[in-house]
Amino acid sequence: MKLFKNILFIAILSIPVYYTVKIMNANEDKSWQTYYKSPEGTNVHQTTYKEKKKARIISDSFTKDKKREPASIPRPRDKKTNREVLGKIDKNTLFENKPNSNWKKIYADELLSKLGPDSKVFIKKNLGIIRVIAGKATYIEQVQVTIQNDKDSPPNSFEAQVDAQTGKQLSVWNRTNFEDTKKDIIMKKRLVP
Amino acid sequence: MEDLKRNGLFNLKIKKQTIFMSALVAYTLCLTSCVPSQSGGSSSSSGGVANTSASVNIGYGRVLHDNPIILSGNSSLDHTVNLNSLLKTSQDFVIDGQYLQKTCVDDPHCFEVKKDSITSLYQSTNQKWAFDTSTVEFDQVQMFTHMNWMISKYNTDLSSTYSTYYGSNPSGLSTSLPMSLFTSGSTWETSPLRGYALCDDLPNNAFFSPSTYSICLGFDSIYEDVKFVQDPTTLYHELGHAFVHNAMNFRTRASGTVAIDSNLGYFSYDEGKAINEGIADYFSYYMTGRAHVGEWSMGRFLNLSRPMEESDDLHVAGISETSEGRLSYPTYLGYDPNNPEENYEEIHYAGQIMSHFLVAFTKDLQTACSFNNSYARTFTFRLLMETMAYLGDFSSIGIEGAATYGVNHTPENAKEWLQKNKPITYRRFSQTFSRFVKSSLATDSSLCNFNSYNIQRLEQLLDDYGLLLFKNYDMNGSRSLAETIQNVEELNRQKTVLIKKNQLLVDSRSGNSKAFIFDSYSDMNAAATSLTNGFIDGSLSTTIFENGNLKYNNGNGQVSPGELVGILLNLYNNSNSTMAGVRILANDWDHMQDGKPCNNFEDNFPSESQGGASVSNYPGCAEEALDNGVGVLDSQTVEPVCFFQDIQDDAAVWVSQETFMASRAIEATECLGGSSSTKDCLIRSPKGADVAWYSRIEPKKTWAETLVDSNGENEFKASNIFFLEVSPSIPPGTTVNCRLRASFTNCEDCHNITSDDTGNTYTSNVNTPFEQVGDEYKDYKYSGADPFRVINFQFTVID
Ligand SMILES: [Zn+2]
Repeated sequence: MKLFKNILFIAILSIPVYYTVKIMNANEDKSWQTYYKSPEGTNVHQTTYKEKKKARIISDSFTKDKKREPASIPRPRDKKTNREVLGKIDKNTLFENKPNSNWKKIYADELLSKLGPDSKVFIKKNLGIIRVIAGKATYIEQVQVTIQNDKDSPPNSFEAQVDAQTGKQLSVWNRTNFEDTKKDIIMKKRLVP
Repeated sequence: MEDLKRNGLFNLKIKKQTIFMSALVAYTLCLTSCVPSQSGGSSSSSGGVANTSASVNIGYGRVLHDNPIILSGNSSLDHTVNLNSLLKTSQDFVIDGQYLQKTCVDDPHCFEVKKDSITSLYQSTNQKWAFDTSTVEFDQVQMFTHMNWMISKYNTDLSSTYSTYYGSNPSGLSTSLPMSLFTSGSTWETSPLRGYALCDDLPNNAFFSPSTYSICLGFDSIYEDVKFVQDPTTLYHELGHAFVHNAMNFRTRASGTVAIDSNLGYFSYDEGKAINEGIADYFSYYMTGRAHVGEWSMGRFLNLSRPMEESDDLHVAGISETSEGRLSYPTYLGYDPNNPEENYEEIHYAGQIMSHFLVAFTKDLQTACSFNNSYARTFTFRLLMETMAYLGDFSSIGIEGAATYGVNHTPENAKEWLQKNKPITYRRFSQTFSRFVKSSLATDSSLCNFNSYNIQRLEQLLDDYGLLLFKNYDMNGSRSLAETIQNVEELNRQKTVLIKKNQLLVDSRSGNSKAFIFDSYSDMNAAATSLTNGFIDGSLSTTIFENGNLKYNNGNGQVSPGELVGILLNLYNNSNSTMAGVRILANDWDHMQDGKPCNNFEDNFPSESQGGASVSNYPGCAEEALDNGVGVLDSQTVEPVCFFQDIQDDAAVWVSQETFMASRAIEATECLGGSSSTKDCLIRSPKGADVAWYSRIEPKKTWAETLVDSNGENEFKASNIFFLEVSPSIPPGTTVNCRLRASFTNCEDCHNITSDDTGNTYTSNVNTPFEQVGDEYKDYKYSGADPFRVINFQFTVID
């Protein structure tokens, strides 16, 4: 009975904590989502176990997935949005965009619109930042992306920065380094002058 | 190495440097004294060890200490071999615990091994790790144990290097290793390195993925019992990629001011990637002391193993450890020792030049400094780490304690410079590696067993490899300060050939094309998919797509409105030597002023009457943008490469895309990149697809002629062509000029300030007073024309 009381107490206490955390993390969903094409447009769902297996995405339940945070010089955070700030914000800083809760969907749409019909795009947010260059600030989402182009070939992974408003990809890096480079050959042709 | 293998465990929790240093001492002592001698196990009837849990102590198992070819001494070992017979009877320490995992928060030595990404960690409730070699449990123990050995060695060697600079008795020498390397956790990603011992979808393949910080090992597609994990040298190669990734980001991570990682190599072929492969091979030598990688996994059934020294039997006749016989640049860039008559453009083959050089350097260190081979490998490792920490620094500092703008231009431009404008080539890597040899061995004889290390021997060895491609050691990088240039002894450049940039031409031989245009629907759709898979920074324009496919590509071999086209510029090597590391840039640069193309470059184009901006009327043309248009250091801009021909007052003039839009009433909303991207509204080269690489061009030939196969065909990777998106709004008949820049690795006059006429008119030393003849061009110069050949590619858009 005492155990039950304790559990009840913890449960009641947890509700406001849960919602506070949930509100704080609005648009900060850091789980994997799968995007794919359908006749109605782009569909999305939480990435399933089977998909993770196919796309070789790490299942969060096995290991704590902690993304890098610089330990030596912790980046300052913007109090309002809890985003890491790269550069300096002052009263003259001009904000070039504003966060948009729909950014991930727009980004996925953009990728899918250039890929084959069976492609799946897996996206996970790693970090939200504000980047300030020459007095101009941009809200940026930093993501991990895995693209499954077809059922047979191994998936590609990379990291990207995405405009937090327009969902436009700004920069990519850390693409998977496959040893078999035969797939890099996109054409074989006889050149006729 | 044997000590490490027997102990195999190194688990320091580093909070403070002091704790770290004392732990290091304790660990070093432990290496020699704490390891209990373990033996046991009984021979099975088949002659192998019965590798069962009853035969080992808690925490122990048995693994293959090398690949089956080496262990058996049989180079034609059958795939049906019972690998148990190759296990030693003595036990190997694996891990004290129930999982193949080092759960270590804030600990850089963190890694785990599973069968593949989605299977759970294998649990050994009795904490014993001995399994039959045919099992997938064995595969995981095999991978984990070798990861443990190699990561331990990495940490030990990195720690001891670090302590020479920041320990109790610091050498006082300059280094690229950041002081906070260990306290900031910069030696490792914060997420653990994940090893996947057997990936079902990787036949004849393996990978290192920096974004997921994981390594996946595949298997032989025909003999599926031949698994890559059975060959530790393949794992060492993959771990080598992980260490390259770490080192490239030591400084970037420690700075805390940069959010993106640097990569050694960006395109399907570039010299950075080739060097990355060569270093990854070297990491197998670093572990084994044997200059050959992949005898079992890649070599036995796939004919893909790679040697790392000229004396290897696999090499063709003529290759030897003599000055003449070295595997030199650029001659052997396309050489496959397994198929010597073929001629490839492939990063692993090209990388052999780097691995052979590094092994030869290691052996030379043994002679020069009376090192044993093991210590010489460790010292070479140290130089590699420093070279990469410097070259990869996106915070632009490079050397600990130095000011910014030393390397990779500025933090905002760092990726653009590393990827495109000033990439890591055989030249740049050799120069930086040599810089650290000079600032260590050649400066402090105590590092060389109190022998005086004469830098001439390095220059001569580099020259044997065709790698004495640089003229000075670039000690201070791009920083603006008064300095005495540390020159290479020119007499040492005997074998290395440097070629003047004016020998690189657009093919003008009669009957030959200036460029090949790829615009077929199927090829370009495939290319678009490939580019969208993490190659291009932005995204391809939605204006040229419909329902996931290109809308306008017609395959007529011309540039048409609405197409995505690939351009193979037909560059011709007019010299009598092989040109190598040729790259064409179609990215923005500082070549226009107030919407007009400047005409003060070597192309003298266009004239003022054709709309050109002269220096006398547009003085801004004579100054390169100081930070490539970012706007921190000055307000100069960079402009897209392509500009347009327009008719003004009945005369044909060259104008910017914005001017052309206004003239033809094209709305900003029609722009390829949307209404905010008017500068490259009508034609643009997608960022990341705006570079073309040619591994080499033989004398009096083009790239296509150099690499054509016996059927008269050429293979194309995305890296051979640059891409253009063409707006559907361009009126057919419009003539376009794209002013490209080209450079190459063994270029005589692309890298240094000379007193010769460059053909470009620039106001010298405006902002950097210490520039001097012979010095490397400062990084800002790469926004302009001086380090490049300027090449105009003209075409008319035809429907
Ligand atoms: Zn590799």
